[in-house]
Amino acid sequence: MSEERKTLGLSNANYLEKLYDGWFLDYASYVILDRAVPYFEDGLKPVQRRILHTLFDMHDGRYHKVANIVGRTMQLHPHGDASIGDALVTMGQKDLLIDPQGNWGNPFTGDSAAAPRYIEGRLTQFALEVLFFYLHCDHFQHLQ
Amino acid sequence: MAAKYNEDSIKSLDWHEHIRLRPGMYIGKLGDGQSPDDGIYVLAKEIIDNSIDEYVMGAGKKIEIEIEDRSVRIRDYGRGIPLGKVVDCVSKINTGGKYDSEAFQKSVGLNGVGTKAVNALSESFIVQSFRDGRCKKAEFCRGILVKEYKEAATSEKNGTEIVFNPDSEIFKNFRYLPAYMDEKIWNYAYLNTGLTLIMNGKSFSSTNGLLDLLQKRVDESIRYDVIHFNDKDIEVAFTHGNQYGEHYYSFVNGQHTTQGGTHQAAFREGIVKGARDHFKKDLDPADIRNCIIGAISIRIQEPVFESQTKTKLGSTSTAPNGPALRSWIVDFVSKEFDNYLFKNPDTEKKLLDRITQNERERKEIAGIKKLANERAKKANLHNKKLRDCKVHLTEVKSPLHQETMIFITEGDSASGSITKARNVQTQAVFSLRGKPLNSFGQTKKVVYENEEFNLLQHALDIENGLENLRYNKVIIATDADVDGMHIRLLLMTFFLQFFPELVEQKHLYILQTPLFRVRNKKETIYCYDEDERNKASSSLGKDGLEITRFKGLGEISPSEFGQFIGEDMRLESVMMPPDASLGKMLEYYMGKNSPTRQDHIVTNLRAEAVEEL
Repeated sequence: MSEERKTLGLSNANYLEKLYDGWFLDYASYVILDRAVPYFEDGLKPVQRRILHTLFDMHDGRYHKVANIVGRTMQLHPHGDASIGDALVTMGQKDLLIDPQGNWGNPFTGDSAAAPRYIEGRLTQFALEVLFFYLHCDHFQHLQ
Repeated sequence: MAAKYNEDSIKSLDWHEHIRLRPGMYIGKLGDGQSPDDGIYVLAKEIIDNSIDEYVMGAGKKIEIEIEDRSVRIRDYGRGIPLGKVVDCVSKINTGGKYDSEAFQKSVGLNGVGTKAVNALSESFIVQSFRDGRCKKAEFCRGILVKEYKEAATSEKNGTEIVFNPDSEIFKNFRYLPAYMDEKIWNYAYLNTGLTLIMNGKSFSSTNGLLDLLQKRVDESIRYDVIHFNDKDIEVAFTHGNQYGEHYYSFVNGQHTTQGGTHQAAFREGIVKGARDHFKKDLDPADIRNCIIGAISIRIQEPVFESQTKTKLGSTSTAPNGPALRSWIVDFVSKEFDNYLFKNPDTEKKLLDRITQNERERKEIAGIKKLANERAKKANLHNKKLRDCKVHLTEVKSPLHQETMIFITEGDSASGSITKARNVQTQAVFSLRGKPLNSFGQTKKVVYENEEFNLLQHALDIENGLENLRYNKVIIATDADVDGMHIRLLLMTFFLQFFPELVEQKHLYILQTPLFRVRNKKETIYCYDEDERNKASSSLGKDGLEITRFKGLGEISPSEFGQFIGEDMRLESVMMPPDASLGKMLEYYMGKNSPTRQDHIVTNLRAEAVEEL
């Protein structure tokens, strides 16, 4: 099959199929490589990794408004704010890497989170230690 | 100051100068061979046409065609051009042997222009004619005689050989893709049974004419064997399939009339009449014709076409002062159809099944249609997705009606800019919100149920066929990013599935938008690909150079947008595949995930698509 496709446009030409194939591969490649599939090294999708990195950048021990986190993440993630916000809320609902403050919704009852301007979050101690090996947090003070 | 206008400003051009100055008048668009309707393919067609005429005259059952990257060789085994007139025949305009001959009355090209146009537009053009052991050869360059050989003896069989290389000054960076000639060559074979065309070693011939044509274009899903009858000067074939809409291939004197015309209208009428007469029922014409795939070929004297490109027949009679075209075709088709059904009860039954199924489906969506139409009625007054233009394709009185177009944009990213930059007379905008539904495998009901599709169908006014289509060009204008590609796929699938006629008649286009902006403080250049970008960045120099990649159309401001949708607009037209592969292709790309598709993606992953963003 792939052999046949390589020669597409020369021997087995079908103009429409050429268009379809090009668009399809562009889109499929992007979705696979840079959107929907978690990377095997850390189990994160690109949007999640970008959010966590931003949270770490901003980390000063205090809660930050979700709207601000989303805005900062956008510098790394060339897509809409809604998709970043949704990804952040979904991660926060797991209550593992992100310490949520306010109504972050509940996947069990189907309630959705409050608007990004109301809710806040920061990295959990767990995330700081495990993901970022963060030496400046209280727990590691004695090592310094 | 106004330009001087006196005797000196009136010019007479040599024939080849005129052709080279206005190639569009002779061969349509120029192009580089990446699209099947590019001019270089027309050049080859013009030469083959002449060889076909030789066959029609009863001389030469074989035509050899060799097309490589940049050169074409065509050898027929006809009678050969009379040796003394070889040079005149290819280089003197209005010279030919077809002006008064009876047999050529039913051919399309009579003007003696085709070969000359090819000659003028070729870097090198070599013609050689063989007649009864003698041959004559001449070489041209851009229409000018370079070398004329003396008559010589030859052992070659009678016929004419033409070898030409299109002019790279006119066709920039062209390259022939022989596969794009396939469809044309097949059509020649179907319309000239008994003739063998050999292209690059592959042989094209047909014994059953249009029957073969249809059989190649349908798959297992047809309802009954193709019905085929012919008579002097007329040949028809048709069957019913499972796809939506009606599909016709119509030919007049060997010319493919892609937009139909009077003969196609009569053919459709004949089928309805035949079915009604046979079943003695007042069947709805739409039910009889839905899902039909048909072909008709006729030969008439002095056909009249509605357009310069000869894609729509306008003749109402079979010859000047001859019998009416319509009744000739209608009577023939309906009578033969009726008789055929009597002789083939099996087909009769299957046809009736198809018609009743059409009727049932039509009534099924009648309810929802009513609701949708009520919604649409409101929408017609104020179609919230549509920014309409003032002139429409249906208003034939307006000189602008052919120039009407509608841009289908993705979200609000571009609709605002286009709305501001457009020509209000002829350019309309329809903005989609988000990604449209994947309509593959859905029934036509979805067109009514899905608000977006319903509004789109009403904006175009194609609910009941193309007659009322409101815009000549339907242009998909999505961002040049990966989601834009996805939306193109989804929209094309929608059109191909439910409104294939729109694509067949070449109303559907893709807007090419620039990928890069290269600018310094003084100048801004927009580039459509990487080559152009590199060129532009070297021409502007390093000083204050800035290169941006456009991710969405929203990044282009209204004042800049004008040039992308104005006269220099770059459009890519969407064309139907020449065979029955459409259904399979849609299934493959838009249907359920399959292991072969997964393999295809995995082996062809495009990492560069990701890096660009």
